[in-house]
Amino acid sequence: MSSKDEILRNLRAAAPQEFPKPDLTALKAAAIRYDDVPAQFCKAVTASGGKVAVLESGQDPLALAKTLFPDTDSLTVTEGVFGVAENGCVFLEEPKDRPRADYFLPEALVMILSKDAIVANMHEAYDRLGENVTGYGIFISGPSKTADIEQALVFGAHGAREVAVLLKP
Amino acid sequence: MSEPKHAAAAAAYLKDTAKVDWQDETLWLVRGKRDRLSKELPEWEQLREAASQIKLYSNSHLPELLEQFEQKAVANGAIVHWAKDAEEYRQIIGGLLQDHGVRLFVKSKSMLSEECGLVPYLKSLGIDAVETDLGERIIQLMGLKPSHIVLPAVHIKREEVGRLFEREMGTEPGNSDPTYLTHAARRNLREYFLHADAGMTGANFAVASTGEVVVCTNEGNADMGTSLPKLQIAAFGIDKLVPDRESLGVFTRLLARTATGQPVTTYTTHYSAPRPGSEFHIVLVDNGRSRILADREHFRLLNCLRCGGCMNTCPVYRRSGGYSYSYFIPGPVGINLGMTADPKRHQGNLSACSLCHSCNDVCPVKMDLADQIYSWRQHYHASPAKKVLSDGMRAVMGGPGRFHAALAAAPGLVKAMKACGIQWGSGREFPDFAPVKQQKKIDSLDHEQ
Repeated sequence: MSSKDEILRNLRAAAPQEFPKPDLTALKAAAIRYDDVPAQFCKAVTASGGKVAVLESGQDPLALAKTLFPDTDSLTVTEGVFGVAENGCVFLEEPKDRPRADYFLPEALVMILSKDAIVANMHEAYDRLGENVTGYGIFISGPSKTADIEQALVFGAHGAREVAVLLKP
Repeated sequence: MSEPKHAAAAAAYLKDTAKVDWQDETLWLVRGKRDRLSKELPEWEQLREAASQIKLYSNSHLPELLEQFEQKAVANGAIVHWAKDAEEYRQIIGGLLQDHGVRLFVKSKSMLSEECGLVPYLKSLGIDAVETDLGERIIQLMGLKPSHIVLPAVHIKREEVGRLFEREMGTEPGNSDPTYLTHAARRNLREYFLHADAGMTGANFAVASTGEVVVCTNEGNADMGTSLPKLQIAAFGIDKLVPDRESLGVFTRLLARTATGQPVTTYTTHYSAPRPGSEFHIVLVDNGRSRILADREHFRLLNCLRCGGCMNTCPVYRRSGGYSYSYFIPGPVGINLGMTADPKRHQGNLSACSLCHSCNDVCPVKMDLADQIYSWRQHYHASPAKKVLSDGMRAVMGGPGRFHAALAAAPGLVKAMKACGIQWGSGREFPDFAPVKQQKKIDSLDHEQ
């Protein structure tokens, strides 16, 4: 018998009491929402250690990114799919023309986001994603951080030390 | 074989009172952050209830969810392995690394790898497994085990890290600034990331409907370790299964808020397909989980997210440290998990609970941890002295005559015991008896009416 069959057999033999799948409609309706979603998003990005700047139409994102992080040439500028107001996350997909590592290796990560592509909370975020699989996806909120030495918060553990979101109006 | 009792180990720990206070305050700080964050969400209790129900649903439907997960994962291009126990888990991973000629292996934090003794096994194969979470790396370089499942080096002082990094990474002598030391580790570990032949993660969640593995970290070490090498492994317990992405909405809102008091971890990564030119292997591990599922009193332990919230709130854990417990997971959930793994060996942890139930109230998936500890205690007896006392009390309370006789004798008896130097317990004196008994006062009140 393969290990798979043995595990499945043991799980069936355990015959646990069957619990129903809960309906999350009421929870999702009760979940926190904000009068000013972009303002809450900016607050959450800042709280997570990131910066927010407005990208005017026609403005060069790389030039703007460089004014935010003048001390480094090591930066990635990329398009975010959508943002989440409750925690300042930006959702990124598999990068099209470069390796995944470009999200993590540079000193600074700059994500461009449309102001109207911000959902209130993670329920809305996953509803927006649905169940279709694209191979890879990541929520990022602020720079890489750690508090593993005496609970002292330090930015730049392994990933980007600095993060900014450029909001398109 | 029974391990030393928690109480004996804790007595040794308590001798360094300054460190005990510091540890207690550090953990209470994390608990405080959790409280503040949870109160920002009016729907917090609804979230906990939903999380508990989703876990109970998933764990009671594991065969179908696991098969669905495997089917989707294979369709995504991953290779799925099944391991019934720790040995098979070690062999699958060791075999994969050997087949790919891996010499340098970077891993992110995984309690399963601790549970199954992966790193020492790989060392015996000549494979250097480098822990990349900063806390885990500190612990690994010190030759220690984690003392907390989310904050593995929470018991280490910055000066100790400074001396360690001076020796291991050539940092400035005497510099123990956390920012300086963290950035030194960043430079040091980056060399390992860039040259590793394979990277491994555990999983926070595995989604049946999509076949994807979700990993949550703050440091980005899991992301670095999976973005560069040609071989990626994700190995996790079968209890990590959740039905769909909708349920991820619930868990990602609870996990970091409870674990570290953040609204979310910095990185919440969803892996489904391998990177171009690389392989993605998934290892599904039972190692006793199907046995827990069959246990009518303890199957709810499979709800656990390994967030560490019950440790930060536990008054016994906070003041006895992770190493006072004989099982590798300490605190309320560790007491219970140790009992499911080997009750004879880990029953000495059962006393490490005051039944205050704070763990139950904090747990994001509403495990009945304190009630389960109480339930174990009914089957596994603590000390012989306690048994004598319990049996004595049962005899005394067994009838009104015996009870009143004992009551009448108690003041004299206690006085005599105190005269002989016998006390109620260490640091706890017997009280002096009041001259007039409460019962007499009540009787006289009744009389007046």
